[in-house]
Amino acid sequence: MKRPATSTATVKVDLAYPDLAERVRAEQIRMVYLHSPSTTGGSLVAGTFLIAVLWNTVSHATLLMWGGALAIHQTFRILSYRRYLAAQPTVSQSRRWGRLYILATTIAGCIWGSAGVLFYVPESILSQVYLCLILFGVASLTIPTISLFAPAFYPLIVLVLLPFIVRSLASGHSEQIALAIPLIIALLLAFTFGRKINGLIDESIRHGFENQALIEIAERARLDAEQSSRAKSEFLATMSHELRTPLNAIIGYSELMTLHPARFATQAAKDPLERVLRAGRHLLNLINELLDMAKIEAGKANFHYEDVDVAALVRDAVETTRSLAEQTGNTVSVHCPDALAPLRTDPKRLMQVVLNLVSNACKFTERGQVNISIAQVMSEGGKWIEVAVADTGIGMTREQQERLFEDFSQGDAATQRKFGGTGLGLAISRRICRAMGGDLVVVSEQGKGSTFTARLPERPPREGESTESGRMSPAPGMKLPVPATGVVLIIDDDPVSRELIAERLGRHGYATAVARDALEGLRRARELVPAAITLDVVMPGYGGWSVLAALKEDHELCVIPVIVIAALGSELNKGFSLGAAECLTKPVDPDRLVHALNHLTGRGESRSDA
Amino acid sequence: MPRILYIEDNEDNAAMLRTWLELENDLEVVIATDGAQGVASAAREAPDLVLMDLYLPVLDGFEAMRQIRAGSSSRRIPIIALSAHAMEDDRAEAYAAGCDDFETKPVDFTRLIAKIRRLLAA
Repeated sequence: MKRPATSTATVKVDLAYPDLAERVRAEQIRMVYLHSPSTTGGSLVAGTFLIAVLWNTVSHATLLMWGGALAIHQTFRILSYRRYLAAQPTVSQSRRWGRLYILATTIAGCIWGSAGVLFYVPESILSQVYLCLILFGVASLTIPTISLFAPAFYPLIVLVLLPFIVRSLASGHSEQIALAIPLIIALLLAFTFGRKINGLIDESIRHGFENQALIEIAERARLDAEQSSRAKSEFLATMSHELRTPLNAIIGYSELMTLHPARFATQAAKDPLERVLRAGRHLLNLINELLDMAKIEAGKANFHYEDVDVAALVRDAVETTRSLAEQTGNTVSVHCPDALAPLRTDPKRLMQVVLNLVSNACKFTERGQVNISIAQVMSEGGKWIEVAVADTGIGMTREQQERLFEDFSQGDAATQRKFGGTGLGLAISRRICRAMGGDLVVVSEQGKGSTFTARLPERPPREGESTESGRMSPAPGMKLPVPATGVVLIIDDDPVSRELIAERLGRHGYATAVARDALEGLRRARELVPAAITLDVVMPGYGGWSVLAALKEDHELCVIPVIVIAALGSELNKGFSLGAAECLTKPVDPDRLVHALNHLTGRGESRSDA
Repeated sequence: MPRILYIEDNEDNAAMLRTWLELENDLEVVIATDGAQGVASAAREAPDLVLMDLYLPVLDGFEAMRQIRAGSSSRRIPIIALSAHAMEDDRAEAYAAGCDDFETKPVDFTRLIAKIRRLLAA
């Protein structure tokens, strides 16, 4: 069954259903059987009417015999309709029913066609006209009902109309030939409309099946994803247990033997055993942090929110790091406003972050100062608490700052050897802040010192709520150099998305430029030095992520804020860790995009001069 | 001499804890290797304190604790729950099941012993 040229947009998914054609045919057979009552009814009505109008023109015997044949046939059709309903045939069984239907319509066609010849009474023009009209009517009736199933339809039409047409044309008389004309037209119309309807129905049935298949695929994908997620959680739980179990013995016994050397006769082994103990503890920390990160990444970390006295927590953290501060000769001070409202947050996680920041400050500062200030800030329509840890230590270069929150990067090997640490602390701290709806940023100058600021919202995000609104980029107080042009470059391979974004941005007063793929995007970025870039990372070929990496590696272009548009929520962290200023998921909310751009390019902020 | 019932299925862990506690010179350690045996032992021998590993065969630690708390002779015995799992929910659930204190593994034995002392004194 060919698809007619009138078909509209095709479904892009290639569904290799070897029996799709079979299923479509079976569906058509079903539809046509379901129409049986109306076709039968119509046929009987038309037949009765025909007999009535020809009663006086044609012999009663002929009429009644014909009528009888029609009635018997239609009864047979109703019976087969009912048997069809009862049988509920499968796709493969439908073939047989289809053949039965074709047989039935062929017989019906013969009966009606024979009327065209049997009742042909040229002497009575009125009867001829009635006959012609009724045949026309019967043919028309089949178009909406039987054209669904082409193998039945075309023979039927021909059988009903052709006998009369041929008979009239063969008569040679003009009035009779004239009556052939409407039926010829009916024949042509039936073919045309029949084909059209058949095509549309075919199309619609196919779409129905394709939708069904797509739903099945989506369902399977969902189940796969769920299973994969479950597998990951179970893996995490098992690993946690498996990795820590041997450490019980390593840490436990080495500690025993160093604390009670006499008992275990390990006086001589004290130093080596202490090294074993230290290594064991270090490994344990590493494992704990890795698992922690994995949990947060997987969204499996449970945050238990409470009302927390932030000042007290910070003072506790300072107390805990006292010996480290003394070891490095640093003075630690805490500044806090008097009436600080309690913050609704996870105290354990907040302590984790503060301890991380304070111990880092002590590690990278010698005989200097570490000032911790807590402030309440109003911004972006909400209240935030900021804990800033400022030190007068060695500071960081630009490159170091960029790599700072990456996993395992540490200032230098010497510090790691001196103080231990796993290099994961900051990465985890930032993930924690972000997961709680806030962010962690740094401002630093080599040789002068660094300030790390953790910002948390007064109200933590609810289950499922986005945590993106808390992102801070660039760090407050750190201004981006004013870019060369005020243009926004849109890098997206999908022309529809490009147009939409360009149009919406245009409406908000942004000049836009577009790039169709990664390479063009990079080229245009170098040409235009735009004020901001929107980057669709779901691009073929060179790929969206490599564009981001390339932009951030280029000395000139790295300052341009990039808004990454990703397909999955799980990619958002990846975007941020690769240096995106903002990450949004598809479908992009145009208002959020505009809002982000306003924020990044300094528009709409009172202290801007973009 | 105070007797401590340690319900633990892992032989290495049991051996280590016994070594640590016996260094204290005044603590006796009895081991049960699954939850059901642990509950029975708690009822029969009336230990002065129970150390309960949470993940046990036959009957898990949480259920074992609930049963000990339900038993007339064992109801009052102090219980310290021990968990190797990283999941936070263990702590809350352990307290809900009736423990008096909670330690994660690998165990910080110095701290554990301090906790044991405190509970024994109470």
